Amino acid sequence: MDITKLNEMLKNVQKPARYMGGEFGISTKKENAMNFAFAFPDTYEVGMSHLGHKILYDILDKKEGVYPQRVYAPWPDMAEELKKNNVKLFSLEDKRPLDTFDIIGFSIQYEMCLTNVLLMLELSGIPLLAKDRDENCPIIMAGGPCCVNPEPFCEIFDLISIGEGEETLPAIVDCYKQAPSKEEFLKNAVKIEGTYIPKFYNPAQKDSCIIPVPNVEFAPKNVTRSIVRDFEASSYPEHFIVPFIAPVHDRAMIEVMRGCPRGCRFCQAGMIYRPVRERSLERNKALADKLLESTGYEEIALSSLSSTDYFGCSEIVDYITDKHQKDKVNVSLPSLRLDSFSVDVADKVQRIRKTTLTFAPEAGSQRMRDVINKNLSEEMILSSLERAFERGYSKIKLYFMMGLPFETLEDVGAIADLTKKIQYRFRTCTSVHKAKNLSLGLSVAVFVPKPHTPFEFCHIDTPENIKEKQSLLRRIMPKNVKLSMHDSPLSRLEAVFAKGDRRLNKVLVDAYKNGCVFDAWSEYFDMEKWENAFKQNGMDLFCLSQKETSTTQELPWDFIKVGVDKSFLLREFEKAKNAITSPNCFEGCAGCMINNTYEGACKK
Amino acid sequence: MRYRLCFEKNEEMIYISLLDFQTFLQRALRRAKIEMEFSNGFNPHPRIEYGPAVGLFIPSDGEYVDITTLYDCKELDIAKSLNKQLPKGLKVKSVQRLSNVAPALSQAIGAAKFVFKIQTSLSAGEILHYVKREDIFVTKKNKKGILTKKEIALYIDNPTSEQTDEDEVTLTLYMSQRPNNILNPNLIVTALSENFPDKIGIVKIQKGESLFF
Repeated sequence: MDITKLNEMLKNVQKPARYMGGEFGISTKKENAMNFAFAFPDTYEVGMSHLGHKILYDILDKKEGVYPQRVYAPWPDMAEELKKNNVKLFSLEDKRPLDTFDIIGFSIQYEMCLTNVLLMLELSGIPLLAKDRDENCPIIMAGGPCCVNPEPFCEIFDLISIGEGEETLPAIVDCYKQAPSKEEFLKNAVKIEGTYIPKFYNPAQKDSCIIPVPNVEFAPKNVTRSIVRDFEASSYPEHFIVPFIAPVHDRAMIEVMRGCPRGCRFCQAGMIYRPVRERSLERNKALADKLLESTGYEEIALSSLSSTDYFGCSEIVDYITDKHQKDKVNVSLPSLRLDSFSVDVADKVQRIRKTTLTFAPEAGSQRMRDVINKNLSEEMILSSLERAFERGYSKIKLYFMMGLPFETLEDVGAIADLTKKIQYRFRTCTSVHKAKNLSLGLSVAVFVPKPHTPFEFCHIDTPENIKEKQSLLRRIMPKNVKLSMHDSPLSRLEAVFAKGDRRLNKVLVDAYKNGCVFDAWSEYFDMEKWENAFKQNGMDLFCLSQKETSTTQELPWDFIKVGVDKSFLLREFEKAKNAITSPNCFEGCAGCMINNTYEGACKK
Repeated sequence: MRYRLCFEKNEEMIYISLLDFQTFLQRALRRAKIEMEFSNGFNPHPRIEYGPAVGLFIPSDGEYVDITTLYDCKELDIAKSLNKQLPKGLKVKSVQRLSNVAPALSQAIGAAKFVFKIQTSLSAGEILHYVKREDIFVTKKNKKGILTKKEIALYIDNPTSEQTDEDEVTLTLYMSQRPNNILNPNLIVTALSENFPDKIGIVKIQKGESLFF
């Protein structure tokens, strides 16, 4: 592409470094290699923080005959510049126009990024729907957690890869190189684990849902999520790209384990990343050393869904803080559980500065925490926080949800009661190290039911109920607490797309044509445009979001087998009704039957 | 041990702000295994002092940074190992060992050379005559967003001009780099455009070496 033109364009946009590439550690051009684009439908800063992206980029970088490159959704100012100058969206590494790639792989992390996929395709001059694209167009594929229900956006993609990509992505690349035509490639790719080719399935009405049914004999009826069976031996990057501008998570990361043993009933990640697989302490230590040396980062995160559940959590924190003490390396622990062990570990990593401690009790009342299987008693919460106060922590942030299934107004009121009890514990704490004042921040989000969880049969709470619950909380919450509550229209839309079927493809395209982009960014989200898109297709957003789902009917995502058995989900749902908890994977087996799909994968 | 590093910053690196450059340099120093001395206190930072920031989009031949290392290093080794860790468009040109009593970078730097390549129908003499005036005013938005007049002749020193092409005049001048007395070189372009409407085309600015006390 014309570099002088690019330079002129970059002078007119915010944060030009988002588009210039050339960072430390990028892949270098290979001769006679096929071009694979990792496309992330959000800004550079969000995309560069994503660990899955880094793992897969590194795998393709090491692989012969493929040149991986990155591209992120351009911010509206850059999108405007591209259109004005008649320049196609390009990759950061080689400044290659996107429509000249062999494969473009989109990472769908969040339902509300979908319009950005369309923006990126349009800016590349690629037709938005798979059926309108010919042999000369690149293969457009998708991956990421949202693909466990691919139906609402499946018509955009030629291929959707479900599950973990460490082993399947290289297989897809090899399959592409061997195939003489696009058609042949798709036919062969069906055989790769976790691969869903939407055009080989027709929509069929079943009960009140539209479900996909194979229209060719070689397409399997069910698609099984791909997983990494030998996590210890699986590939993990030893160097990261170090960006020039700070991404959201500006640090090195090691994935200490995959999956979460807890089994919270609302959590999709807890279900779709099963079974729990822990990496050995030796490998994690070696990875931490190598990453810190190769990137020069001053901070490293122990990343996973629940890092304090990792068997060697304390040891690895000690190892890193001791070994890299002279370089002043910090360890950061995302997703802390509210128990005394977590407070001890957090205290260990923050030897000098006492920053904010963030926890997620999720619900205020004990009954509600049992409904969601949080396995956290009130005394555990209060005593852990007291322990934190004794050590001088004064800034606490707590995450809650409202609109959970079987929730009453009393349960919401219990959030305020719990807050008061925490404040009381702070006042009565007699430690000499106690800070002067307590700064308590609460964030209360609206619960969005997700597929493949025990709550997949539920719908999002009604706007009236949410409003009532929010105003109740505002009324009874102590005034010295920072209370932030989330936007309910965006959650409603997310709920519809999370549990939607194939009919939503048209809505998505119409919403994009109405001007919806960057929906996850409050400055660009426009509910009216979305509502119009639903109306244009004879649908009503509100009705869809409130649709009852019976436990016996077939759901649009049931053909995707994530490994957790439907009977387990139903059993958990029944338990939730009666507020009965299930044990975590380390204490006892709740019978999710993951080993039936992946023999011997679950060692617990 | 204190060292003064002179960087050259051009190509795509002109889009990187000083703030981002600071974090980037700290990481490059770690990768280059140059062991830095850290500040004491609650939030220890490596001891690095940065010279005045050059504006975005302006390539520079002389960006200065002072670093304090834990151990004695050879000047050439610092340049060599650091350059291996720097991206295209950023390069250590020279490393100079400083005595412990040498003044801080912000105190030592006096002025910097700026070269303006101006596409214009005016002659070199006309431009020089204007820049040598004692009253050059430019309209500029202040922090509150209100348009104000700013006097900029005070900041300009030792200007020379030369006809470098048929429609190109190269203006070279020195501008103060003293703290609180730094002028954005783009304001000189604004002043020229305001005084000679429609006669100033594209102006390319390049920062040259700095003068030390």
